[in-house]
Parts: sequence; C-alpha cells; structure tokens
Amino acid sequence: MTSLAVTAKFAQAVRSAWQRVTAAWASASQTERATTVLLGIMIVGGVFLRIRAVWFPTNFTFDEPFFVPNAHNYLLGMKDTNDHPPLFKMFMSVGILLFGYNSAGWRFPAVCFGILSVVLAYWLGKAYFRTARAGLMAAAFVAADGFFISYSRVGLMDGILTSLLLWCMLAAVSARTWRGVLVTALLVGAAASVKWSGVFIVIPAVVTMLLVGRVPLWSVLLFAVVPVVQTAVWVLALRLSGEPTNLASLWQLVRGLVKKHVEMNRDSNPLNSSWYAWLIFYKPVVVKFSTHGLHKFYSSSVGNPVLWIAVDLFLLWSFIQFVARGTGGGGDLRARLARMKEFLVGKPVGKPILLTLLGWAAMIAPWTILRNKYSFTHYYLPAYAFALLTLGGLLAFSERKRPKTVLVFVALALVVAIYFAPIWGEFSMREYAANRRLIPPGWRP
Amino acid sequence: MQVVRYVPNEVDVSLRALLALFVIGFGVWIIFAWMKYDKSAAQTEQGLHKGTKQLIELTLVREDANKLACASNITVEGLNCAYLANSQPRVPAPPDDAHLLRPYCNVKNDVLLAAGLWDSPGMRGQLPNERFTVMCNYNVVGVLKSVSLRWSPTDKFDAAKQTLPVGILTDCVIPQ
Repeated sequence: MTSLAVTAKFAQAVRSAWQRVTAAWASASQTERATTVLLGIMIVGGVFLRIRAVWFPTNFTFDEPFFVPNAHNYLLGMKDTNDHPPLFKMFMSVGILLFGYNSAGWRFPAVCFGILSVVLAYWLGKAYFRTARAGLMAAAFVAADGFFISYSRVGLMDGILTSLLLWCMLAAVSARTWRGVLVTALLVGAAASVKWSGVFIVIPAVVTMLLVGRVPLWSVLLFAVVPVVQTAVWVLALRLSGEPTNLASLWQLVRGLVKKHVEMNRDSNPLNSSWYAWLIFYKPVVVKFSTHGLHKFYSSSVGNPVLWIAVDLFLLWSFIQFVARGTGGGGDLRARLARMKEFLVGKPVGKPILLTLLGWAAMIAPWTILRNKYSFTHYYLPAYAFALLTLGGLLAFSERKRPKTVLVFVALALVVAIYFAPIWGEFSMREYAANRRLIPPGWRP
Repeated sequence: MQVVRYVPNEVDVSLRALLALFVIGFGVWIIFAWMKYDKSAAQTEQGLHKGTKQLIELTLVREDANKLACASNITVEGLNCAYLANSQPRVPAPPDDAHLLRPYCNVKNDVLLAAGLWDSPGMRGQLPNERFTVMCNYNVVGVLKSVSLRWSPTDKFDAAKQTLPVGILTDCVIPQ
C-alpha cells in the first residue's frame, strides 16, 4: 500500500468519525448531551492525571527497584535478574533509551499504555455492544478510576498488561477469519511475555471469536503460536543481555523462574490480600508516596468507589438472579436450565455482557483457584477493566429508557473522581487531607 | 447529512491500536519535553565528595532527635558518634549537637552521617507530629568506613554496609 493510499484511508477514517460525532450530537437529547460533556471531562481529566508530573518522585517507588535496574541492564548488555518475563522491561528500556536513566524514562511506557487503555476501552466497548455510547462510557470509566491512573504513573507492569489484554480482546471481537485469530494469538503471546498470568485471556478470546466472529473452529489451533511468541521474546531478551540463547538454557531459566514463583507463594507480605477482598478494595497499594516538608504526594490504587460499588452490586444481582432462575420457579431440570440460559444470553443481560463478564471471570479465576498467600490487589486490574466495560455497556443501554438516572450516576462518578484525584495523581497535600480520602486505615501507606 | 462509515477489517483494528500507541507515545514525548522533564526527572545530586557543599533533603520524624545514633571509635574533624565501636557510650560525650554525628536518610533512601541538624535555627520551633522532610546545606568533611548504626534505642547497632559520608548540616528549613 502506497503512503498516498494510507493517508487517504486515514483521512477517510477521520472524516467518517467526525461525521458520526456531529450526527450523534445533533440527534441527542439535552440530557444525553450533558452526560456526554461529563464523560468528556472524565476522559480529559483522566489523561491529565496520568501525565502530570509523573516523574516525581525521581527515586524508585514501591516495586520499581525490581524492574528498573533490569530494564537498564538490557541497554548495558547485562543480565536481567527479575522473576517475570522480559517484554515489560524491554518496553521500559525503550523509555530509558529515549529519556535517559531517570524517572521520566522508566515511567514513560506505563503512561503511554495507560492512555492507550482508555482508547482501547472505547473501541472494545463499541465493538462488544455495537454502539459508540458504550465505548464512550467504558473509556470514561477507565479514564476516571484511580486503579488505572495509579498504575499509569509508576514503572510497574500491571497497567501495561491490562492494556495488552484489552488489545487482545479487541482483536478477538473483530476476528472473522484465521487472520484475525492469528493477530489475537500474537497479542496473547505478547501479553504473556509481560506477565504469565496474561495467558488466561485465551479463554474469553476463543469464546468471543467463536460466538461473535464465528471463525472456523480449526483456526483456534493458531493459538499454538503463543509459546512461539514467548520464546522469541525471551531469545531477543537473552541476546540483548549477552546470555546464551539456546533452547536448553532458556528452558532451564524458565524452570528456575517457575520454581521461584512457587516458593514465593509460601512467603507472607503485609500487602497480601485474597481475591474476594479485591472486590471491595480492602487493601489497595499506595504505589507512589513521597514527602516534601510537611506536604505528601500520594498515588493510591484505590478505585473510584461509585464505579466499583456499582460493579459489585451488578455482579451480586446477576449472581442472585442466575441462582434464583435455577432454583426457583418450578419445572424440571430442562426448564430451569432454559431459564438460566435465557438470563445469560437474553434480556436484560445479553450476549455482549456475558462476554465482558467472561473476561472479568477469566482474569480473576486463577487467583480464586490458586488461593496463594502471595496475591495482591493489583492482580485484579485486568479483571476490573472488563468489569468497567460491562458497566459501560449496561449504562449505554439503560440510557435509552432512563437518561436522567444515567446522567446522575455519571455526575456522581465524576464528583467522586474529582474528590479522589489528589490522592491518585500526586497532588501536594497534608496528611489529614489525604486521610479524609483514604478513610480505612488499610488504604493508607 | 449522509454519514459515510469507515469499518476497519480484522487486521486493521490492531494496526489502528498500534498507530494509536505511537501517536500517544509521540504526544507524551512532546509533553515531557515541553514540561522540561530533563530538569525535573534527572538525578540532580552530583554525589557526596569531601569538601563539597550540597543541598540535601532528609526525611524525619521529630522523635528522631532522641532515636538515631551511630557507634565508631573514629573522630572526623572533631565530629563523633555518641557510642564507641563496642556499643558503649563515649566518655566524655560530644559537647553539643553541632559535634554529635547521627545517621539520617535522604528522600532517595541514601544514608549519611551528619551533625548540627537539631540545633539549626529552622528546627528550634514546634516540630510536626507527622513525618516531614527538611532541606539543609550539607558540608562533607570526611567519610567513615567502620561505623555501626542504630535507628531506635531498642535496636542493636548494625555495621554499615558501605562507606558513609560525614558532614555538618547548616541552614536547615522545613519546606512550606
């Protein structure tokens, strides 16, 4: 394709998007327009909170010492001694290459992927629910939630992993032939090369491709490319760090890391929390905390309470409804199963919500099964992204009948986001002011 | 108005996401440059060398005045630890805070030995009851290799794992 053709295609896409925006605005009611403005403020504000003074403090915070020196090692041709796959640290080394070995360099990839997550939430919401409104809601919720903001401001991998997983699902929901399946598999390989737990996205990806895209069943075999991608990333990383790149050495290295992870599960850590505690943000980590004189700077990973409480209530309601259809109402087993199926794929929940909830379930399930001692709130970040997609879709559909209720909900989420913004985006504040926001002692550093 | 729809195909969707990542990266790079990240994010400390005077930021709580101590037999430019290497109190004790070495951490978690903090005019009023930082001029007068540190009277002295700078703190203020 010539550069002229690419430019023409890009211009067409921009023109097309602009026409759709103006058409949607013209046909919207006053209430919907007000909601749109609030959602816009959430997105712009969320992007601002991700970028502002992200390089402060200029020293390592939280777990950065485990990753940053190893990212630097790739540029020096030295060994990576960290216990996670290398791709995240290679992204970080690109930041260090661009900006130098400083806090701007090692936090650059997290900021970029953090903003990309907002864009991907829009595209994914739109693709799942077939309406741009759902995408806009999902993007605004991801933008204005401290869980995502804090992990966009720190040199840690969870925000990047989440972004890649959203990307995987965008590819999956768009897949129609083997080409789409291959692209999805390559992205799953990339996500698993950031953190091994990323591989669990295979389950919702395959289900989505079969149900939505109706791809040929044989094409699922293309997921065999996932370990190949992972191996290729490792080989590149080992080459950069001057280590042996043969498969025997790589196998030994991976086995050693797996063993280390198993041993770590026996360790205890004051920040440990079980999966069910994540749903209520029982112990969110303050991923950045610094003091200057009497002023403190926090980047807490506590989510937007309006959003996570709404998500939890919806999950609880869905669970109760699902169980009630199976246990109440009479009839034989077939009738009960039919009622349960109707609830899952019919109204009011519907197939798109079932699929986004499958993403949520797939990313939280490993931690409910493993039940290890060494699990932390940030393991919930990818699952929570799918929960917010679900919420976006639900509200977009609800808005057709109850636009004022949705406006009130969005306004409330925005007000709470503004109240919490100082402890998400490291604004200068006194401890007592921070404690008014970090109310439970478990939320404080 | 006729709306012309551009529908990306299954591969274009991911290419579009990749393009978005590059556009975002370029935008963040422009913003970083515009906000002069190199002046803010760079490690500004030049390293502590004997004979140098440098602005440093220490992290403290007010109880540190009675908690922090070091142990060494060595005297550097008239500055001493309160304890000898065998953990016994030095006799006679250093006459005042200006001659008494104590360990401190700066905001980057580097450890240093210094005298004169608590007698500094900026530290004489009521100190905050929460953790705070103080900015001081640090005049490096020497280094100590064999020294042990204690961060609380109930702890044992632990040998420092590295050579520590020794100096005098002046003009200390709590940033407002």
